[in-house]
Amino acid sequence: MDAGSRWDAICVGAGITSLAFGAQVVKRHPGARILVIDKHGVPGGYATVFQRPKAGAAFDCSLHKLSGMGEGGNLRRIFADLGLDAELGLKVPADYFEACLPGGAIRFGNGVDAFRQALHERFPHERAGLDRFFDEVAVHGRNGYHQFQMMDGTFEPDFAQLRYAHKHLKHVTVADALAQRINDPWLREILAATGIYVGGFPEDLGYLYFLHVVYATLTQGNAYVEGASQRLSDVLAARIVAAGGHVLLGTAVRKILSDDAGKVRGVATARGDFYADRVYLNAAPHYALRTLFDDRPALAPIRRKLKNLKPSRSTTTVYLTTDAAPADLGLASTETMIFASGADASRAARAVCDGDEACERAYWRDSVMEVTNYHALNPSGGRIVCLNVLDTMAHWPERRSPAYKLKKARALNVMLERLYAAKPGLRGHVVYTEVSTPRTYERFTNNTDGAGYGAMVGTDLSGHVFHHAFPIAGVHFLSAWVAGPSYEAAFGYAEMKAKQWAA
Amino acid sequence: MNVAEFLQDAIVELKDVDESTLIPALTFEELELDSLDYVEIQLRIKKKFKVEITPELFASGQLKNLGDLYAYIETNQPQAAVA
Repeated sequence: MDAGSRWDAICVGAGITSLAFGAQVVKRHPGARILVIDKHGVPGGYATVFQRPKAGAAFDCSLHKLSGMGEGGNLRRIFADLGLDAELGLKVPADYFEACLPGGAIRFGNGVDAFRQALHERFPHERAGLDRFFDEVAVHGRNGYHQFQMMDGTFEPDFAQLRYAHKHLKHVTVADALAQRINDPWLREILAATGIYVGGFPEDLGYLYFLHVVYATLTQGNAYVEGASQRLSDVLAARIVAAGGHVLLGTAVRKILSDDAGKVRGVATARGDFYADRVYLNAAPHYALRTLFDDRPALAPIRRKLKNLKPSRSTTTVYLTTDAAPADLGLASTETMIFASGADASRAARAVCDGDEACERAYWRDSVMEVTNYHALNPSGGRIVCLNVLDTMAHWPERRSPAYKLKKARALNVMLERLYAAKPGLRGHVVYTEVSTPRTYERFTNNTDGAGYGAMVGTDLSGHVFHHAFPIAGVHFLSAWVAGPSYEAAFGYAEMKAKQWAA
Repeated sequence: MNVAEFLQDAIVELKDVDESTLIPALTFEELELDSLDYVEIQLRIKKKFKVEITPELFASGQLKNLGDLYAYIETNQPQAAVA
C-alpha cells in the first residue's frame, strides 16, 4: 500500500467497534474503501487472543460473554445481518454463574426465570425486594436495552416509565438502590456482581444503566464465539479487506490532519500520510485529544467537557492453564463469582483505599473475583481459566520496574489463593500463569487509566456526549467511550454510525 | 401549545431547571444533557410533532441550541400535524 493513498474513511484503532463499523459499511455500501490503522500487531483491540504455544494456550483478552445472542437479542440480529452466525461457531452455556460465598455455593442456571427462582429459594425473606428488582429489570432494563431501536422508531417506550426512570433511577448508584430494596448483604453482593462486566463496583455504577446490563446478560441470551474473540475480530477485518479496504497493523497514528477551515483531511503515521474526508476514532477520547490533535482553541470546550467523562475500572487478570480438565478439578461452571469473606466488606475496604497494601487488599482480596472457565466452553482451546478483579492504575508502579514485578507476583498469589479456597481441587494443578495489569491494558490500547470497558456509566452521564458538535468536520468517535461498554453496545453504535454513512 | 412551549415543559421535567433560563440561545452543552436525555428528547419530538431528529443532527453541531431545535421542528413538521 502506498502512503498518501486516498480512502473513503479511515478508522484510527482496530478495536471491535471499528471492525464492526467497517464490516457493516461495506455490506451496506459495496465499494466503500476503508482503511483501519492500529499500532498493535493484531486486529481487535481488547477483542484479541494472545498465544503461548509452549503452554498450549491461546488466552482470550475479553470475550467472557456475548449478551443479546438469544431470540430477539440485538447482537444476534446484527450477527444475522452480517451473516456472522453462519460463519462463526457459537456456544451457548447452560449456566449463568456460580456464586461462591463463605457459607457455600449457589449455581444459577442461565436465564432470568432460573436466576430468580434460585434467589427466591435461597433468600425467601427477600421476596418483595427481589420482585421489585426483577420488575425494574423487566421494565427499565428493557427500555435501556432498546435505546437504539427507540431512536430509529422500531421500539415504542412508555413515556411514564421513562420519566420515572430519569427521576428515580438514573442518579442513584447500584449500591444505594440495592440498599433501599434488599436487606440481606449477601443478596446485594450477588445482584451487584454483574457490574464487573462493565467495569464498575456497586458504588460506581448508575442503577438505571445497571438494570440495562442485567437485562442484557440475563434475558437476552448469552453465547461465546468458538475460537474466542480473535476469531470474531479476524472475520470482521477480512470483510473490510475483501471489499477493497485495508487493515494496517503495527502502525501508530500520530496526528489527525485537518485544514484551516476545520475539516478533516486524513491522518499522519510513521508510514506516511493517508487521506480521507471521514476519520473515525476508535480510541479513548482523552488520549485522542491529548495526542492526536493540534492544540487549537476550538477544541478547548471538548477538553473541558471530557473532564466529566470518567473511565471505567481497569482489571487485573490472571491467565492460567491446568494439567487436567478444570471440571475434573472442581471448577464445573463456565463462570464463577468468588465473593469476599465478609458481606459489606468490599465497599468498606475500597472506601479506605490509600496506599499499596490497602489497595491490594480492597481490589484483589475483598472485592468479587470473576472466574471464566474457557475449557468448559471450548475444550479444543486448551485447559484455560481466567481470573478477573476490577482494579485501578493508581497504585501500580511503572512497567518493568522491580516494584512492578513484585506487585504482579503479589497479585498472582492473592488471586490464586482465593481460587484455591473456593475450589480446593485446583491446588497443585495450575501449571502456567500470567498476570495482566492496568499497565498492560494501557500499553496495548492507550485506554485512559487502562480502562477495560471505556467510559464509566455512573450517575453523572453529562460527559458522555462530549463528541457532539465536534469542531473538526468529518471526525467521528466510535467505541465504548461513546456507546457504553460490552459487545452489544459496540456493535449497536457501529450500526448506527454505518446507517449514517450515506448522510 | 407551540413547539417552544412543549419543549420547555419537557426539558424542565427532564432536567429540573428554571424555565426562565431556557432561552433560545441556550446550548445543549450548557444544558448538560446526557445520552439518555438526548434519546428522550428525540422520542418526544417524534411523537408530538412527527419530526425525526437523528442523533447526527446533534453530533454534527447542526443543532447547537434550543433555538436551532425549535426552528428545525417548525421547518420540518408535516403540514397535517401543524394544522
